[in-house]
Amino acid sequence: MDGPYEDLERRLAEYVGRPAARVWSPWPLEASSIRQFCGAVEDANPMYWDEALAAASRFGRLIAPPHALMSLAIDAWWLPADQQAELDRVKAESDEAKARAVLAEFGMRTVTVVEREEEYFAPFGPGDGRIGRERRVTAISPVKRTKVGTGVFFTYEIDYFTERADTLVARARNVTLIYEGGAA
Amino acid sequence: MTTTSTTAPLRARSWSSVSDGEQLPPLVFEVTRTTLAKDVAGTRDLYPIHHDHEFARANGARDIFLNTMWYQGLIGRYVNEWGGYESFVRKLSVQMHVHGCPGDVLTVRGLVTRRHRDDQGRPLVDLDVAIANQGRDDAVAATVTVELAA
Repeated sequence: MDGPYEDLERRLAEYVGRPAARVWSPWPLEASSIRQFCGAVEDANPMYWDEALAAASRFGRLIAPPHALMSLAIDAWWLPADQQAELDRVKAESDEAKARAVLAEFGMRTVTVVEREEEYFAPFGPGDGRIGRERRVTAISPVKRTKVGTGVFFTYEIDYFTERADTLVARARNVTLIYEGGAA
Repeated sequence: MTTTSTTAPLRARSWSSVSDGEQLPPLVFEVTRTTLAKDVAGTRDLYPIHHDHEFARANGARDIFLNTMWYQGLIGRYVNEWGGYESFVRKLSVQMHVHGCPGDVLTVRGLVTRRHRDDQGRPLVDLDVAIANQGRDDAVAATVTVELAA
């Protein structure tokens, strides 16, 4: 798109490609948080609920639904100020945060997920420690007019690691729309 | 009870018995405000668009709506209930076409598109999964690759 957005697109280009520092989930993988996730969709799979059956299964232990990964790795909804400040500091250094700050200058602050794609390499569950994630922006589209507002399609990938064995357990690709939503 | 129950709970499905074009039994889920509350609590996603009606409306949505993680959970559940409890989702791609809001009745349907093995010999099945609401057959569309236990 021409006009005021030419400068935006030029400024965003430099933030594509580089991985950010690894960020850890606030808490280790635990059966309780796995089961809260399952409860939201009424998932009774015994691999998440029945320790004996899970131990006798091919997984050999309780596991998490692999597709619960994003939820289990999500940031805490509240932290003591010093811990939140440290997390914010690390995140602010990422190219993704810098790109988001540029978009915010142009009023594009509302985020909606358009497509989420995940690939799971290995089961994970209670006992694996925290989940680490490494994010990188992989594409930012030119500015587009959409039915919810003017914005960009913003794509990023995340590699997920479990803490105890330092294993790459999954990779995700997110296509989001970041747009002028009207409410900051 | 907001969902239909599984009639053959989590019985292992044999990979060799699966055929292309096979349809999975549908699953119905009624979405209420409580569903949205459980979504927020279960996925720990406090982005206001999922719990603050006014924020959602101001941002172009008709109401608060279900997040991506909830759909991932429902689709994973649906596929594992078909594949058996030792089946394991290997790939999941979810596209949200319209928002899922309180009052919606969702019906999940699935179709086997391919049966194959990967380079490690794992028995895989590719599925197209669609979640219909009252207005659209593919309110949410997903492609899934699930590994069966045997």
